[in-house]
Amino acid sequence: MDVKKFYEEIGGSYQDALNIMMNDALIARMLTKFIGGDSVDKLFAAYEAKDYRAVFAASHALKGVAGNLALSPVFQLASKITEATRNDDGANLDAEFAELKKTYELIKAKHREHIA
Amino acid sequence: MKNNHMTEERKIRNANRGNFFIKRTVLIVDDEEINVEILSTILEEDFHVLKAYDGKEALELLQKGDQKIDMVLLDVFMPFDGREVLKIRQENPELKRIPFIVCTSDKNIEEECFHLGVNDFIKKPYENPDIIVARVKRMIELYEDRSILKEVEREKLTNLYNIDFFKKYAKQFDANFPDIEKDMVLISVNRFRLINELYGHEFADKILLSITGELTDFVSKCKGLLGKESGGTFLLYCEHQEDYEALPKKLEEAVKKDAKDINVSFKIAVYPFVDPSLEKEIVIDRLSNTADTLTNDYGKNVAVYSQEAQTANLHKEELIAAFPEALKEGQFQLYFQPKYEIQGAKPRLTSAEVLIRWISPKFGFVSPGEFISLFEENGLICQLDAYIIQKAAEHMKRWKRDYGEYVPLSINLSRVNLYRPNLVEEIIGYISSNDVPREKCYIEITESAFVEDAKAVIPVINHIRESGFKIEIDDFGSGYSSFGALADLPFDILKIDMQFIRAMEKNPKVKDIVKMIINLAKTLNATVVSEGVETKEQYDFLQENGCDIIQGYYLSKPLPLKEFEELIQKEFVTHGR
Repeated sequence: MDVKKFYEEIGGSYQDALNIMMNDALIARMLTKFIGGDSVDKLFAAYEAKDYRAVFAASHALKGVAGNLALSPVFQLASKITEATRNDDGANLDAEFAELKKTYELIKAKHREHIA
Repeated sequence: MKNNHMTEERKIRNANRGNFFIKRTVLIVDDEEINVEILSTILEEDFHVLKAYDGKEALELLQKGDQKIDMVLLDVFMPFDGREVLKIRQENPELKRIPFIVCTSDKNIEEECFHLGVNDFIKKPYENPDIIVARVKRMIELYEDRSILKEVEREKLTNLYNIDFFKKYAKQFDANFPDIEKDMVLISVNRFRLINELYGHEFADKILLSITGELTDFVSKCKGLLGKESGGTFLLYCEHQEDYEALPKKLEEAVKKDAKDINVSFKIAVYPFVDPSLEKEIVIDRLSNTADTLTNDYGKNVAVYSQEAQTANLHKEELIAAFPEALKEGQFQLYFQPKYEIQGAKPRLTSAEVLIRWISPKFGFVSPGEFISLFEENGLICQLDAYIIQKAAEHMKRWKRDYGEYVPLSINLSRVNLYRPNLVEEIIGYISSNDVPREKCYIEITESAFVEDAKAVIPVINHIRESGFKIEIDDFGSGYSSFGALADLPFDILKIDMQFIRAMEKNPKVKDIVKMIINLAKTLNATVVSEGVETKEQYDFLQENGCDIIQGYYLSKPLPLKEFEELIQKEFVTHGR
């Protein structure tokens, strides 16, 4: 298990994760929970359904979790989507979602490689 | 590792924080399990952690109340929104006692949450864990300090300021509103102890709460604060009000809701325009004295403090303080009001009523009207009466030796004495130790004393009478006893109240009343005495209508010992009786 490497390779901040969670074991456990959870899937499902209120709620939730896990690329994308849907606007966020999908895939791959 | 080192530091700090040696309970509310887990990990070393995954679950835990929760860390966006929880908390005093911190990554909702009464925020992503722990601890401490202060400064039942904090906040009120003229008001439930005893604490507490409600209502309409003294006494410090006459009625009505069949009355003492430089303690003391001037009865129940009343009260206190020395030094002097038999060819000295005068080196001549009622209030009268009986017995003994006669003396016995268990034995002791025959000693008891508590008093008077003393009803006619009741009263002599004698000249009907009283006394085989006889007309009327004895300025004013002895010498020795 190499948590530090995981963060380096996905462009997250290992130091921030460590500051919050204090040790690698907890960071690893929380990352596994994140990968096994449905917070990203929920966001995609909401966007596909054009339910912008649900998009806002899901991206807001993802923003919080990603922030705490110091998954900076996810955090930034989730923040962007949150702000874009704050007022239920039917904004076109295809680019952001494509980027998020890519990032999430990378995270899953790197998690398998370094942590799982 | 840096973070482990910080954790160690925290442990040491915790160990030194005495008041946190018991782990406080923190409830984390967030629908994101990861957030809950992370926060829980941060906090679990220092706190007992409870978790809820939406607002509804959180409220259930909080309202179940089987665990004392010291702090809530609340997410906002959840299936049951955090703001809904905050709204419910605002309406719930129990929940308001628990501090709430909102965990959010959203700056936009901070203001809204502040308006909903949230105490602090924790930013998402979470900051340094030590800061989070410190923040949670600080907030819990603040709340605990606040609730301890609340417990200390407030009276438990009514939640009003206790007397110490009332005084403190009254001063603060002065400082904050220097331009407002203020009154201090003392509100007291009459006979509160008795209510407590007769109807129980629970009932008495209910009454106190009704009063608190009414007073809170009163104070909400003017600037002011309320305090609770011990028992049934409240204090109010508020913006000056023109009058407080309506307040007792309002309070009575408020209390009536709980106590339909019980008459609860109030005493209200008002100190208007309180000088802020005056210690609050002094103001409250003065109000207590002012309230004491009101009786426990219905009628007048608002008294306003005045400097004159305060001076009079202080003078009373001085008189009470001076009493023991005055008694010891003989400042109380016996005066003798001669009584004359008037049915013979000319008036003949038969006896005298003993009066008491206080000639004080400090206060000069103190009026009996002033000190007798005062000493009756506090029981000192018993000592004074004992002194008078003792002195009277000594004089009678000496007169027998010097003039060959026991000149009978009437001694006024205050009603307060009648409740003392050893009274009769003491009187017998004083009289017997001077070898005075008991029948030469008349005990004067006012008609009102007889009538007001006849059940308790009559057996005592019977006892005195059966011991050989003569009983004289004083001030007859002023106590409104029915003539029927008179037949049951044990007495030998009936003294008509001087008001009748004085009123005879103005109102001829009074003459008829006096005649009737004389006849009544005769029927009951009692001797009739008229007091306050000042004119020849009064004298002639009483003589013609069969009154046995008179006293008053017409024949003699009250005499000091020496002059009375000269009178005895003249009447009994010179005239050869």
